[in-house]
Amino acid sequence: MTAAPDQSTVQRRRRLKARLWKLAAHALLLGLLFVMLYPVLWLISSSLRHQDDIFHEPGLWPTSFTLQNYVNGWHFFQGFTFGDFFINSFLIAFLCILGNLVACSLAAYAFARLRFPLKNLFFALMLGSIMLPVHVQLIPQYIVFLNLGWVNTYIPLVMPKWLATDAFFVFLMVQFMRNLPRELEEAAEIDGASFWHRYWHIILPLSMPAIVTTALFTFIFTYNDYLSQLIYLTSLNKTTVPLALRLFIDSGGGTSNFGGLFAMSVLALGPVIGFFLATQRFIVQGFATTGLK
Amino acid sequence: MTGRARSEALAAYLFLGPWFAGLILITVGPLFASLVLSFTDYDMTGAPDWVGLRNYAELLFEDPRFWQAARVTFFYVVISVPLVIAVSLLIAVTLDRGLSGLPIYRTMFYIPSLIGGSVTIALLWRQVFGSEGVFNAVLEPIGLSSGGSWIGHPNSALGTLITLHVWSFGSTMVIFLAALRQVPLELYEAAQIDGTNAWQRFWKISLPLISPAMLFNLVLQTISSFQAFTQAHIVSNGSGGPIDSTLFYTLYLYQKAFIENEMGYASAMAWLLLVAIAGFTASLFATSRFWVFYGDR
Amino acid sequence: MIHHFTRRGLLGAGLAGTALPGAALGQASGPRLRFSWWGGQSRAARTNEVIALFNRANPAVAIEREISEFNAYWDKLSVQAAGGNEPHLVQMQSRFIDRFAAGGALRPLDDLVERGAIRLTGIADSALGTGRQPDGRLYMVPYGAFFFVPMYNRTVIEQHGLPLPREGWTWDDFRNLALALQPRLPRRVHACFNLGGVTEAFAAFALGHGERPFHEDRLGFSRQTLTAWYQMWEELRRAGAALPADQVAETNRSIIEDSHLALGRVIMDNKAANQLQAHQAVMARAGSGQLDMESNPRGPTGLGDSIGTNGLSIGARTPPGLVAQAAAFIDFWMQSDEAARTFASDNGVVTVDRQQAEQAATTDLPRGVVRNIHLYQQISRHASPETYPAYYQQFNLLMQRRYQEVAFGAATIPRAVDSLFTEAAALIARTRR
Repeated sequence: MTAAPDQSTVQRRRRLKARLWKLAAHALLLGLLFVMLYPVLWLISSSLRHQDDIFHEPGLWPTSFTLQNYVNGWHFFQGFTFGDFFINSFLIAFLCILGNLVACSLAAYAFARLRFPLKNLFFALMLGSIMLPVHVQLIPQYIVFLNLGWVNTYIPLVMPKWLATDAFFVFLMVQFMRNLPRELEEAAEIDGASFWHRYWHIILPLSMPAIVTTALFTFIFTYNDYLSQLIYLTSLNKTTVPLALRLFIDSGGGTSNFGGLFAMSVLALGPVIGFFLATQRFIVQGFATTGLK
Repeated sequence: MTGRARSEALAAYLFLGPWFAGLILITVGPLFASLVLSFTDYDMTGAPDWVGLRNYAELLFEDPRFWQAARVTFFYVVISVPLVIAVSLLIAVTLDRGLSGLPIYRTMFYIPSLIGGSVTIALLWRQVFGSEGVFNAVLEPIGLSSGGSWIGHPNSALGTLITLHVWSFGSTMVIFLAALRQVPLELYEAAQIDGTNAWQRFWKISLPLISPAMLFNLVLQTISSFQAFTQAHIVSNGSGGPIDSTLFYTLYLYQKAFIENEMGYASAMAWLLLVAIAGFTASLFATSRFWVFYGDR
Repeated sequence: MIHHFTRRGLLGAGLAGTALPGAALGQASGPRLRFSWWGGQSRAARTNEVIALFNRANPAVAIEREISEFNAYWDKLSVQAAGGNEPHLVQMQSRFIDRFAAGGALRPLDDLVERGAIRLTGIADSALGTGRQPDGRLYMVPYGAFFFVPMYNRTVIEQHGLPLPREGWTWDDFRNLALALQPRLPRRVHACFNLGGVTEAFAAFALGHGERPFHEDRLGFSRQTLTAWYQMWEELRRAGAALPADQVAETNRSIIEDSHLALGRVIMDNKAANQLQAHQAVMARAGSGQLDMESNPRGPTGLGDSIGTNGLSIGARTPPGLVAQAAAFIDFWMQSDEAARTFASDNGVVTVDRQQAEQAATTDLPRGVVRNIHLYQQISRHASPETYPAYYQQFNLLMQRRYQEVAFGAATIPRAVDSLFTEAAALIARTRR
């Protein structure tokens, strides 16, 4: 005669099953990660091998080990180090982040929470503005900025962000704001709070995930934005990371510096990864920690 | 309009102030200019010559490469957008909660999207999918590959670019992560008490509640995939090859604009693309009525 | 300037009233001379040294440097030219000059030459010819000559006791060499890179058949020539002597460090002669072997070499004060022997004959650089100046694409030839509109 398993056995089995699932999950994730990160691992390993070995040694493990690529890459040019380019990129990114946060959240609040005539038309216009490929807007935009005397400055790169031209982030914030329950504002409305008060004290703090995501993505987009920076920045002292990286490759027939390219690419990843690590906590904080309830 | 409605509208226009300014000062001008240019012959030197609808007619009826580019791009969008969404959702759900080391995992899965657009990606991708790449190194011994180049063959080149796109799913994943975290834990707990399993919880709770983010990702992925340029440009060395198998629409547009100096023709291409994207997006929004639920209702 | 601005009226109408004629097209009104060039780190370093030398002699001229990567350089120049903001001193190349000169972005230099502000002493006429446009005026002063020739792994060929390429060899010699080599080569090594879609190699073939490949208003080669070309490469490809089509498609030919020739994966290729040294350096690290190069094989009617040049131009809208400075810089670059020694033919064989002679005789320069100069001297006697009309870049892509169709079996040779001619005709018609 078999006895029915008692509670503790059942619980133990359940816990064991859960642990096995977790182990399996980790194994799968790590396996997937290895496959996904293979190119990145190859990038890092190539940055550590002698430049001339990079292309004829396809394996992952470097046979020669050198930090020379980092040194060469850093000392880019007489009088310039890659550090200068990092500073330029960071400066632009910082100004763009601020601009996007301010302008896009303002616009998003209007679309998400306010009623006004022509709302749908404006929303369509906003989204429509990113549907036209950038290459055909390049020259008209360039001529405008040229006539304003703003070529070879950072203004053409930064100013549009302060005017909410990044529809991506407006839409992102709209989706997050629309997901917030109305009760939160209704209480404030009854108290006679102004729209600004509701925006600033209620909606914005609750939209922290969207805000942090905006900051993170803005950083990455401007950090990697090659085309605009190529067109608008001409003098070497304003050069940014993506432009400088391309200068490592000489497709005109001269000698390239692939070691330097890889080394500086790896280095360029650093700030972004750091930014992500630091901010991802705020992206995933969700409702639980907002202290509303 | 009532007084309240009027003050609300006024407030809205104030909030939209910067956006209006941007629209007028930055967006509308080039948009309008490119529309006008699409009816001209403009080689970027001298003045544009008015040609009316000729560019459009030539595009639609006399340009086989246009249709090739449209085919390639359409195929790319239709395959890679659902793939990216599915993969990033799957990983986001896995990395939402319940495992140790989640911050590290999330960062690691995010990293590929950071390199996806850089100049090194062509070299990296060739390391994987080239004839001497690691993909072949793994598949050849077990007979699944004859050692040819996946990037260099017209049958597989587009596939490698789709893979590249899916590989860079990081940003979509982050948005899903943020959305998943907005779902109140209590809902899951209540459902668990009711005896539902993980799949049911996902389907009945998570999905509907992250539907706004899902719409966002769908729309933005569609818009950006239609305009995909950098990867194809870099990996195919600007050619869209082999045999135009990776001739993305915007790559062809770029060739017309900057290599052939036909900016008018390229502008016409751009506007056709805008119409197509707008159509797709509009239908996405139209269907969204049925499956997107906002928390403010 | 006002006139120029009203020509942009059509665009101006679309630009939200921010156009200000008084802002004078955005050029900084200071005395800085904007000098733009393409290249990487090492090229930039050398150029900077020459600028420093110039500044020692002319301290009053302030030069602002604008550097871009090669491919992006032309995009950027196009945008700048469209806006009327091209740099004052513009590095130019014979393959692109047609686009920009015809487009009004470059200033004719004949008056400066006549005045003696720019001395052309010692520059061969054939080189100078590449800087002239159909209207007869000089738009670019060529400072470095490049030319594409067969480059080969001498060690491997000698090892197998086969005849080396030599001056005056024929296309049949080339074909036979490839076919003879292939059976003796290890797996995954091929006798030759597949050049079926490479314009420079085909140009040499066409020239050897007495056909100048590109004219302003039409293609200069015949269907028979192109057909013969495709047939030769298909024969080589099927025999395994030429690289398979997919491996060709994945290759970025402008990256020397990754070139099949330098890494020992092919024994023969067609490359820019001034890259010999760089290839040799990569080969030294990857293994062993001596690379060498020879003039192009001759065809039935003659030799097939042609010369292109890199040079300096002056932007069309450069104000007169800066024109004088730009001219002085160009003159210095060309005629200062010290500058030539510093730059050391980094961007093509120096075109001034006395500097050429000096570098050819020197022991300071690497072997590859000297070989480049010697080969240049050898072929410049008969080589024709490359003519690359504005449609060249797009034709390049077309050439690649059509051969890919043949090599991948997507089209027969006659069909590919036909569609190339049809598409080229349409392309040329469009550029002449």
